[in-house]
Amino acid sequence: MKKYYTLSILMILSLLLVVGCNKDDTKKVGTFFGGIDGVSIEFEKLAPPTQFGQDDSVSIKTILKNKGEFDLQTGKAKARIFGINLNNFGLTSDYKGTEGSLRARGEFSEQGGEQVIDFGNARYNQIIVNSQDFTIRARVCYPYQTKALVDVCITPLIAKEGDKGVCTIDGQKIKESDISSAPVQVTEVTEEIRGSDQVRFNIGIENKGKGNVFLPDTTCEQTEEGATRVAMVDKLEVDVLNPSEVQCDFRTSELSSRGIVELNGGKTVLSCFTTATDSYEEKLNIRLNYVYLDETSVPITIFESTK
Amino acid sequence: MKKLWVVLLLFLVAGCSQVGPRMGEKITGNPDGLRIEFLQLQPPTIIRENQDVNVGLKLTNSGVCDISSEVCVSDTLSSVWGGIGEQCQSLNLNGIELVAGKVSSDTTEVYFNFEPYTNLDRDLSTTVIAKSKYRCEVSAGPQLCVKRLVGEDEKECGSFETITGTGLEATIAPITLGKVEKQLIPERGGINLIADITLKKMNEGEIVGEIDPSVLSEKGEAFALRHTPIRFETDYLGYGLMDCKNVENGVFLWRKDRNEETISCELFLGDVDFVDNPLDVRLGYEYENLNSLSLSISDVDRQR
Repeated sequence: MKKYYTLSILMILSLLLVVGCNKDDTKKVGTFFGGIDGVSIEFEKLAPPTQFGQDDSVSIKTILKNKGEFDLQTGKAKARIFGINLNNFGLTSDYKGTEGSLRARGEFSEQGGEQVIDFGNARYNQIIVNSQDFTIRARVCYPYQTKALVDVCITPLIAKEGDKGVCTIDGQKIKESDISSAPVQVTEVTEEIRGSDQVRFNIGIENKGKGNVFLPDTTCEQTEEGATRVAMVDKLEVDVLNPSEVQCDFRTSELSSRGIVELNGGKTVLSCFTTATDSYEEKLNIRLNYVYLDETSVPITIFESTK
Repeated sequence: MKKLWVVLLLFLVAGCSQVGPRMGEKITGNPDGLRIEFLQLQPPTIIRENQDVNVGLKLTNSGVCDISSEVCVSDTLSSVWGGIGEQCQSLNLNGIELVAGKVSSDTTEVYFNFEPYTNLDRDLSTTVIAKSKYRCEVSAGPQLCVKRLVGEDEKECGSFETITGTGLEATIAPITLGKVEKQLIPERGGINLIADITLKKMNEGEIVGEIDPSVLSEKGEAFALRHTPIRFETDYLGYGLMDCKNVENGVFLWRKDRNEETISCELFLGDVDFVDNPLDVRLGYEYENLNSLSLSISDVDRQR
């Protein structure tokens, strides 16, 4: 009896595990898949191996996977190796671009595209006593875009107060699948009435990924140079495509529907407004343009040659 | 059900019990080297006139340097009474190594036979000295990270770091690394890497070596008496040799009364990327270990 009891518990636990593991997170319920993924980078299996001898020449390759919802043409995403003295390994510090395009996640490619970048072979040319541990790092640099399509309510004060509006401005406007999968996200869209005929949008923007954001026209090489890096990091371009008459308060430029925002602690809130003469529902269409840098690492151990 | 728990427990224990370093790993730790011990009653602490004197020694090499030298025994008493005169035997001991994941030290026992002490006119005392001098060349050093911008990525790579303990990768030898203090200083055109390297000496024994005559004439005899030379070279692998204070022609003069010395080294790296790279500190020196034992010799005629 006790045996059956134990078996039953084990079966129930296994079933729970199977159910838990089969969760399908690739389903798209609205405009976008959503998520915080962009282009990921990882070292290819055994390139490099985690352990090898001093005389061995080992292959160094990275795999770039576009798990976000923005297409990247051939060569747009680049990667480079760093974190070790590259001369000691016979490697170069140059960025190498992908040799094919990186398709975004979409209806026809739910996994997104992937490309391998081959950095050639590495061989350590310094003295090793017993063994030496290293961490090889790789950095990916790519231009990216976050798309947001959020239902908002355009309504003048008179309609709101007279309760004649066709929609409400209250609450968080972002719903599931309103934002495309990308490392920088539009995290908040709220509305408020401003004066008698203006609606104000507060647009929250946040770097949800682990990497760094740069201005969209930054080259990968510039992200590495001290002075330009500081001037361009934590900044991105916001373009409000619709409603067309929206004006935003960009700190460094005139009121416009397109401008640069700066992230503080990885986030910021941008205020925009539009004129409302009538009450109607509208799609707030936003594009965030930026260059994103992310990295990965793999520990390796090189053993002294026995020859 | 109980059996299932026992199996699970065994798996856990097996998974957690990693013993010692793996094959090919560096054997690192505190300074250590040759250890000389007198075997029990060889010699006894009290001996009689006309009694044969046998000295037995146990020698253990607890450092990485192979020892190919000799071990000598002598005493402090005049040779007028015979007894222990200087005798040497060859000594060959391998450095410590990993055997089946455990550190294994090479050890040997050597025996010396001396004529008895004779013609004593009173009870005497002496000190038996066993010593061995050998050369040790070691390379040790931690990984030091450097980066382009001081203040950035401080979590990943601190601009100021003190490395001690296992992170030092201090090879076990009579003199080895005790501490490395790293500083990254931004300068025009790049980063200056500063490393204050503290070397530690094992408690037993001393560094021996002859000071170059040119140093002797330049710094004087008093200075030469207080110092002993060690070869010292530091390389931030692939970036070149570091420039170290008080190191001339690859020689550092160690103050004999000190058990540790700190040497300040620097290297201008220019516009450097984020890099984790080994600091290779190479040391070379002559080291002498000794042990002594007090011995009383009783005059047989007086006892009668």
